[in-house]
Order: sequence, then structure tokens, then C-alpha cells
Amino acid sequence: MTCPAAYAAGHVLRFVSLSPTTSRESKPMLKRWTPPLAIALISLALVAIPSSAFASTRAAQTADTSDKFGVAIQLLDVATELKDDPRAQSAIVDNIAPGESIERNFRVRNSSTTAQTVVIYTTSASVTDGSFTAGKNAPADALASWAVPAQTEIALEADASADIALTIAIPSDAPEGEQYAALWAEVKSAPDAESNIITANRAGIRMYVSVGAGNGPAAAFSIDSITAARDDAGAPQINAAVTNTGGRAVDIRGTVSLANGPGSLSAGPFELTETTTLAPGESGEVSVTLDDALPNGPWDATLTLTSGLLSEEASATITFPDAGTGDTVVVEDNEPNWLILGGGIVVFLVAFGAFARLWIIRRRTATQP
Amino acid sequence: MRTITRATLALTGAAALTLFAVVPANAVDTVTVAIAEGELGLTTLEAGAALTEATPGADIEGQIAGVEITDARAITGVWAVSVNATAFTNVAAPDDATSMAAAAITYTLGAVTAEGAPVITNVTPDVVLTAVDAEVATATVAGNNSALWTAGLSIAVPAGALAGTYSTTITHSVL
Repeated sequence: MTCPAAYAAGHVLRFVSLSPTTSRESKPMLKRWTPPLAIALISLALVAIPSSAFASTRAAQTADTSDKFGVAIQLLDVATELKDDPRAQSAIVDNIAPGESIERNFRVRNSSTTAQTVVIYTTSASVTDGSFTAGKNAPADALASWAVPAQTEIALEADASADIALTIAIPSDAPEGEQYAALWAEVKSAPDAESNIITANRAGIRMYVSVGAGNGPAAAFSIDSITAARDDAGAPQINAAVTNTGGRAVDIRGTVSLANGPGSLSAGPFELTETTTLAPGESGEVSVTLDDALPNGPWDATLTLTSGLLSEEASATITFPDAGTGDTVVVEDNEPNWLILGGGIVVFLVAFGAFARLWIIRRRTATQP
Repeated sequence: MRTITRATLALTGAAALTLFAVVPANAVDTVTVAIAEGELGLTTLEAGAALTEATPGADIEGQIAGVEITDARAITGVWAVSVNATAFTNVAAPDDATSMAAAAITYTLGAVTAEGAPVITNVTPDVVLTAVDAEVATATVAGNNSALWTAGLSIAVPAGALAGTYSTTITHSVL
């Protein structure tokens, strides 16, 4: 029994090591593994391109020598499981269990042309009317008071930056659910006899923190209906009603494509004019204004909406009205029909079981002398 | 039977390979990873702004020049700029209730010069500033971008305002 096991282990090792050996067996193995290696190298090269392009943009920006007064903020790290989510690249979107805490680092830069004192603090925030809005300058809100920056004030030379930690500690009696807050870095001009206006400039990082055990509630949204309309200037417009059906806030953006129009015309994709933020359970409207030259239709409109890694698609046949709002088309459920799908799986499993049983019986009969 | 043994061995091998593949992934699975992208910033051309002298009952025009949003985060996302203002206080006696407290400050977003094609919307033409943040511009972005404008200010001085030097704090926020 040990001999086949050793054979299996040796087999595995050759798979992993990729080292060229003179073994007759390993050569084809190496050939088979070369394309993924080449792809990996190519993707490394591709990854390197944006960062160098980014560096040149920064150089172009700093070459500007005019006076400036302001501040910049940057989130420095993201939870490993969220690293592919574009929303997590610029905002803190974690789920934290009651009694637990997380630490995130951020960088503040004095982007002024003179030395300044940068003040760091958190404020409450809310998601209302389709946007994320920060509250007043006090951490009165629960999440805002649980998120504590390691430094609240820092003196920075012109263009100097500092890395600071933010600890978000959730009390063990915190209610479950999603909460919002903003982390701010602010510079404020000193009062002087010449200025009647004291300018305060601040840049912030959004926090969408869900309190709850495990991974927290899932994010989800649905596209409920699509309406063709014309705006006050007479330009064609497509509006869609969307609902946040999950347990996390969503930042909805997306595109609309038109196909099968008059004379087989196709148009788009057109970007939505605005990103709409919806709190769990909230409904809102997303819209896109199109070119005047488009004929009224009918068109097959396909709406593709995303929030982070989520994506929803809906289609409807629409006709632009001559003015005002046209008919609202309720979107058919685009999700797979689970009843049919489940039934299909059951039928498949039964058929597979029957076949396997038949096969075993046939083999037993065949091996019998 | 020999075929079955081989199949079992292949399965065991595959399982072992899966284990080998999973272990190193877990080893690097720390709490956080670094973000390669850059910062979001807001600057104005100057620290502080001056207003001309005013007569009670008249409007004063002023501006905050060079409000610039620099978004180097290299993401598909959003930014929003909001503005708030405190009530005018008397510079000589900041704690006193003043006759200028009710002076309305109207904020007008100037022509926007943008780079990197941020899709800017919600540009409310004239916002009367209060202590609560009012959104003046939001942008849906893809990649690095910037936007620059001059904020026009119109201050309605109440007819009953008393002589004195008054100041207000105007806060621009980008989030």
C-alpha cells in the first residue's frame, strides 16, 4: 500500500515544482504549464502599466507652482476578502462583529504651498435621497464615535504627508445593522484682519460599516421598472426604478444600450448621469439622458447596473414619448427560475443514479466468470 | 479493480494538490492588503478670502478662487463636494449675537474645468449656504480626474446691520 501512496506524492510534487528535469514523464508536464506561466508574466506587465501612468500624472500635477491651500486623504489598506471590490478601494466597507475592532491606516497630505496644521476627525453620515451625505462636525453618531483616529491634529510642512491609524471598535451591545460615518482631514485658514471669509477645506473617506457576526448581510439590489421620458429640454431620457434588496448600502452606476430600433439601429452604451447610493430597503431612480437625434423607437433597452462587484441587468422594450413621461415597463424577473432549475437538477441526479447503478450491475456481471 | 484503484489514487492526488494549493494562499491571507491607488484632495487658491466693504441692505459680491478637486484614486466611483457656512460673527466680539447673523450667502458654482472626464452632476446653480452641508457637485468617475471652478459668493447684508467687521467660515468638503 505504501508504494502507490509514494507514487501519488511524487506525482504531486512534480506538478508543483515545475523544475525542468530529465525525467521522461515530466517534460510534457512542463509544456502544459508554460502557457499559464506566460499569462502570469503578461498580466504582471499589464499591472505595471497603470502605476507608471499614474506616476506621470502625479508629476504633472506637482509641476503646478501656483499657491494652494488644501488637504488630501488616502485609504492605505483594505481587508483581504474585499480587495477586488472597487468600493472598498476608496471607502471603509467592512463588517465587524459586536465587541470586535479593526484597524485601518490612512494617509493625510498637506497639499498647501505652506505649512499647515491638519485636523483629523470623524462625523456622522447618512444615505438619503440617493447620496451619501456627511453630518455636522461632531461624532455624535454611533459609528462616528466608535471610529477613533490615532492622531487628531498634525503639523505638516508643504506637501508633507503622514500615515495615521484609525481604530473602529464596536461595543459589545451595539445594534446590528449598517451605519455610516465620514473620516475627515481638514485645514482651516487663520482669522486675520484682511479676510472676512475663513476657508476650511477638507477631504474625507466614507465609512459603510455593518455591525454583525460572520460576514454580515449580503448586498443586493433589483431593477424594478424602466420608463422612457423626455426632459424639459426635450432630450430623450431613460429612468429606472431600483431597490436595495440587500443588507448593505449600494452605490449604483451603469450603462444603457439600445438595440433593434427603427431601421435596425443600435445605440450606446450610454453611461448613467449619476451614481445613486441607496441604504438597505431604500428605493430610488437612476437615469440617463440621451442624444436628441435618437428616433422615438421602439427600442430594446438593456440596462446594466453595478455596485462594487454586484451586477444586475434588465431589458425592456420602450418608446420615447414626444413629451413628458412614457409608459413604465415593469421588468420581468431576470433571475433564473429556481423551481425549474431545481427540478432539472433533481431529474439529472435521478437519471445519473440510475445509470451508475446500471453500470455497476453490468460490470459485476461482466467480471463474473 | 485496478482501474478503480488508479482512479482513487488520482482523486487522492488531486485532493493533495488542492491542499498544497490552499495552504500557501492561507499563509498570505492577512487581515489587510495595501491599496495601490492614490488620494482624494481638495484645495483652494488661497487661505481665506476678503470681501469689499458693504452698506446695509446691499449685496456684496465675493469669490473663493480655484476650488480644485484632485482624485488620484484610480477607481470607478464617486466623489461629492458640499459646502457649508457659519453665520457671520463680529470679529471684535465673536460671542455676541450679531445683526449680520441672518445675512444669506449664496454660492454659485462657476464654469467647471475638468480633466479625466468626471461626469459632474447635481450642480445646483445657486445654493444659500447654511451650517448644514449642501451638495454643490457630485461626480461619477472612472480613473484619475480633477475638476476646477471658482465659487461666486453673494452676500445679502440685512438693512438693519450694524457697522463693524464680520467674518464667516466657509467649509468645502470632498467625500
